[in-house]
Amino acid sequence: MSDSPTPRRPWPARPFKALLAMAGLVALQWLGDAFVARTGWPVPGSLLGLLVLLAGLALWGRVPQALDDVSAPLLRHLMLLLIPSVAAVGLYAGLLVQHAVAFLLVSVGVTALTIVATAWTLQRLLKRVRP
Amino acid sequence: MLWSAITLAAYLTALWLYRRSGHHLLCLPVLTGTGLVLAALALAGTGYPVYAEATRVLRWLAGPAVIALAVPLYRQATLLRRLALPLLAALAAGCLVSVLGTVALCVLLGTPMSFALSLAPKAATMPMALLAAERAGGVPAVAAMAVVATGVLGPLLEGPLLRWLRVEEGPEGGADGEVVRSFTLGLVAHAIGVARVLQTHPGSVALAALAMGLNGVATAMVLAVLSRWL
Repeated sequence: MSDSPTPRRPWPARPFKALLAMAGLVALQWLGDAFVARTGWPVPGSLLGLLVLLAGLALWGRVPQALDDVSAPLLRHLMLLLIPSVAAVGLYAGLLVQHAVAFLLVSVGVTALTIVATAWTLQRLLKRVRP
Repeated sequence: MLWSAITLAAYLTALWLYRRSGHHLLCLPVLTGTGLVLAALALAGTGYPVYAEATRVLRWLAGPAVIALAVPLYRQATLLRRLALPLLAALAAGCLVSVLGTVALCVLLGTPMSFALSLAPKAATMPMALLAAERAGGVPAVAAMAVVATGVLGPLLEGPLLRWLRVEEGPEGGADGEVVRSFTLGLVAHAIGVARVLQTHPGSVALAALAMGLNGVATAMVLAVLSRWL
């Protein structure tokens, strides 16, 4: 994955620490998955990992350089990791065509409603905070 | 290994196309990349299950990548300190309307529940939406289509709707208009909305990114509670 054409910063000066950070992310994923498997909660294991990492960063007070070195390329090329899941769309083309009307109505209607609900709430409350 | 390499090649080609097209919305690497992979599968006569098995490592890596989303979210969370109450209230309103509205409309239109749960996380950022849909009993690939549709429609609908709501911008409206616009776009249209804000209001792009991150987390949580209750 390192031979991408994106301009990137040089490979981390301390590869050992970067490996450690990657191992940390993998460990959080395992922990999240194990917790979900044990409790049967319908949340993705990664979400729990994200929340634990967020809490850890808040306690630590800053982002360790090694974690930044690992997370930046991972996030930049997230689309690559999603292609295998999205490619399953071929299996569900029939389902999408069958419910095309619902898909279109939901896409347009609920998106419009969401914009109105968010913007209206925020506008109202901002006026109250600083009249 | 071979199919992972083909996926990587498809992704790099898609990335090149995306740059070549001037970052055109319909040339999103995940769309064109998937198209190329599907074409390769058809040419080789390989079925999806074989491909899915061969690319297990790539799919699994999406998990740690989602966890890494905590890093940008942590950086933007400092923005919350100033406007925590209005922003969190708007997050709750937008997230609930999006998830519950989608499920309600789907039920009304008589679609199966798995279809409704696939569309429900459509405003969330794609990796989170795929995971949340799968975990709730939906189909990740269908969720991906809804996520893209929402991302494209959000920036198109936002202009006229905010004018209708009289969200003022520029010197008369003060900074509030820009805050409302950026946060709303990030919440409803995830990465595509953030990219749009980057073009139109680069000064408040962090706010859009914050909205995207918060809504990804909130949507997954709301969907989890909902799927257990349904």
